[in-house]
Amino acid sequence: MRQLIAFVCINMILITAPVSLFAAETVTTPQMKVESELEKKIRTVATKLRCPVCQGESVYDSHADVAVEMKRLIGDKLKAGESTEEILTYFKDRYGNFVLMEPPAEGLHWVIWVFPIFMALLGGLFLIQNLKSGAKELNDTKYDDFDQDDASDQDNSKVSEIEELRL
Amino acid sequence: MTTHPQNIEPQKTVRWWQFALIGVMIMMFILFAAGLGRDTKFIPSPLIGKAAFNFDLKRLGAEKQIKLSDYKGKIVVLNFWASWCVTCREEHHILLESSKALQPSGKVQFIGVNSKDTDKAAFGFMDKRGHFPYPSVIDRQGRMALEYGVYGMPETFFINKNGVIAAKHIGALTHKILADKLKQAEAVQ
Repeated sequence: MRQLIAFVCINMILITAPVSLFAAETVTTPQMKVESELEKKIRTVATKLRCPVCQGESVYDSHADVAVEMKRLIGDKLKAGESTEEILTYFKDRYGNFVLMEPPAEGLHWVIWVFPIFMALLGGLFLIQNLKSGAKELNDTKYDDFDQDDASDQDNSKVSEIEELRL
Repeated sequence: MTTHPQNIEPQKTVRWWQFALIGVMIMMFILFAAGLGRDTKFIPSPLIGKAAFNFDLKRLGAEKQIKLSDYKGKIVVLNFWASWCVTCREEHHILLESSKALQPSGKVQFIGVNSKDTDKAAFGFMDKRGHFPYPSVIDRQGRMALEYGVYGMPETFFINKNGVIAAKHIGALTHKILADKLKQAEAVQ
């Protein structure tokens, strides 16, 4: 049995070794490394740009013709040594702020940035106010337990009886 | 004897945050109402009022190069089109009629930009629907379209005689749109 297992193991190593060596060589090809770095840079820029015809997708995620061409142009511009900012400005100058996935906080766009913070603050204050009033009500109920819950109805009826007698 | 204090309803005070909340809700309502009235297809171009990109491209069906600067002193109607563009078929007769009527005056020049297309498909399109009485340049990769911030076909730019983009139209042209945009191009210096 041991001999059989050893035979199978040796055969598997012999079969897979050349494939592994070939794969390792393919992965470490310098050309591939350069391409993958460029791809990474293209992804960084393309994810910051909105696909002009899709509206909900970034240029990187979109397969639309215009987005594919934009990715090619980004690649060419990166190869020519342009920075991410320069490329983003190029597209912004032609398509406007709309093309940026994160519109700058200028003009009316500041509302988009300020509004969530404002609403969070308002929500927080609303929560604090409610918690405070809730705690106060709880305290009042605790100390005036007898007056409020058990005796208030009786008291009221007694008061009305006395008032009736007075009349 | 007075009534029990617990039976007296506490006077409700409107706090500042309630005012703020109502204010924000009103603001949101106004914003949404304004947004509903907007044309979602209309995206203002940052290129309006700026110098048009001076292209130098090969003419469709000829070895000649065409430059935008060759037409300085004329209003240029720059129309992006493609054979695969369905809406381009709608405006095709408008372009044929208008260019035939306006170009002889020498004040207006129409130029087509055949974008992301092949010569064969482009000529097939024109053979079927009529050849443009003006030149078209070849924008095989669509780089020229990116240079002009084009969203989709068809798009038309109205460049004044000083080479400044005066107006732009996304979608099929009509005679009225064309006349209005040409007026804008005449007015903008």
